[in-house]
Amino acid sequence: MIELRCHNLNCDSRLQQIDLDFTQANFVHLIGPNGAGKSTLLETLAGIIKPSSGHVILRQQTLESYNLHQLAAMRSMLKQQDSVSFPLTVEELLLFYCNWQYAIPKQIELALEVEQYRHRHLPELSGGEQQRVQLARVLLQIWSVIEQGEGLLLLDEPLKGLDLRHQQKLMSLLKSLSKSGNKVVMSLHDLNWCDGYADQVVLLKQGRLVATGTVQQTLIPQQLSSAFDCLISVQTSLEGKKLLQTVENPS
Amino acid sequence: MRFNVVLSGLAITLILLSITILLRDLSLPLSSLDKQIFVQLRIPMVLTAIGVGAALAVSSAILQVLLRNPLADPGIIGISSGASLFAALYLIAGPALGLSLAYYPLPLWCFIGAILSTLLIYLVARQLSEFNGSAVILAGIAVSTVAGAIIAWLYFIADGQSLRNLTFWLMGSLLQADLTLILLCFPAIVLLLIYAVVQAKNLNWLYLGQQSAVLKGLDVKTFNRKMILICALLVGLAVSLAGSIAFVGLLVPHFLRQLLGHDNRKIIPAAAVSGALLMVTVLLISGLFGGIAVPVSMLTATLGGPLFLYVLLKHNRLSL
Repeated sequence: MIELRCHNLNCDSRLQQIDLDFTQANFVHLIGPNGAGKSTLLETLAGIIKPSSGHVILRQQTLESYNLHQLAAMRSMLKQQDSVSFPLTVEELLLFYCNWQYAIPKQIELALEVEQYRHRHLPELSGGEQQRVQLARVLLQIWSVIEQGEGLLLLDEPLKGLDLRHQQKLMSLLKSLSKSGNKVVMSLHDLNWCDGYADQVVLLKQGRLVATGTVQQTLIPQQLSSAFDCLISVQTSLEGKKLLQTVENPS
Repeated sequence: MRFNVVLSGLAITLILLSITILLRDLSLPLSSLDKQIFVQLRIPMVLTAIGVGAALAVSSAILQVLLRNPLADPGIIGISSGASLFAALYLIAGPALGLSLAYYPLPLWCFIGAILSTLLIYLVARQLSEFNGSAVILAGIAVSTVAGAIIAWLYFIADGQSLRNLTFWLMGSLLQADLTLILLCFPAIVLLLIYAVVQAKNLNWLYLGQQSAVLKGLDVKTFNRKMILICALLVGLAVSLAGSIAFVGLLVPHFLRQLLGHDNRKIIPAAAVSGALLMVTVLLISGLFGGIAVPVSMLTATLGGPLFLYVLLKHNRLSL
């Protein structure tokens, strides 16, 4: 288990007094309304934003005690706006950022199906296709570490833009990576993915921690309705999975 | 493979053209007068063209990636404007105030001007935001507008001769190349270019923005500062040697990317050779006008203007 904790983390007004321990969970879902601080928390965990106070502990050391090279070798992050300023080809992207000149590893290719885009320019691809390419890049950056089950993946809305089939394939891949020891922390908006996948769910609102724990402990209708400011109902599917949906407010 | 072919092709053409210029109208073995022409005129001219072309093309290639803008070049973002201002102050304010200034300090003044304007642009941009391509470009436009305004005011107080000198300088010239000056500047340019090639791999990490480079392990703040300084030094040396030259920087890297892709480990060395080749070609063409010294910018702008329009239209079609 990779140790990952934050102690009394503050980041201007975007994160306030966040205490979290992800050590026991390998697949963590961050949920909350827009502006809740999910991206800021991920960027702080990645070490690209310095907290104004508090600290992040990764493998018995504070994040500041690692240099940028050491961090780059063990964690990888998908940012929300990874826009490109030049029309790079997929091949160039993987070469520059991952030093990857070979065929895409089978496990990644099965889920993301990006080999077919190798010679295409990024701006020519659709939003979802670009997202799959960026996900492949993020995984390949530390693929040798991930294969040993020692990678830390921080993914900001990885499901954004993906069609249903690729959402399913990606979530299965991430789950299997987390089962082999890697730690995956991701933000998402479709709460229905939490049940069956997340070991730990973190609910944030306005930079504060509202709740954290297992799916059963956090996905409680009243708590979600209050955090998201809209009525949310929970039903149970025939397979016993929690199904969440919004309900139109009678007023 | 393709890169090696392109680069060697460019290099061979560069060498052949340089030899053509060096030996034009001279017969071997060289007489003592020819020797003097060869050493005092031709060698400085060719080395200046090579050094200036390589410096401008490479600094633009770096700036375009650094500022995330394929259309950035030292002229457009204002690095050259400081050099022009200092040249104007030297050529107009100097004589007007009755100061007699020796010949050599003009390149030195241009160099100082380029470095100071870069510093000013950098400081203004940092006030606007952490480090952002648009902020640098905006600051560059502001700084070059102010410099342009001061130059315009200087025109008022200038006498006829100073005015001609300045106009000529502002349009760039390879024909006034000076042996001592180029022997000082050329090794410096070569060293800076080597350094740029060494840093090319890190430059590749900036395509997705600053934070993605940090995620790859690059200390972006220090890197940006270093690379801006390299560009300022290269541009400073280029304007000191040949005055203000337009469009070389914009065009060369753009066309190379079409040909070779975006790997800066290929683009930077190829930009150095192509920039040099372009300026040597300009030198060759300007020789066709007999004894008339055709300003370099006139040629580069005549070619560059229409090509710039083409680049703009093509680029927008790709990104929109």
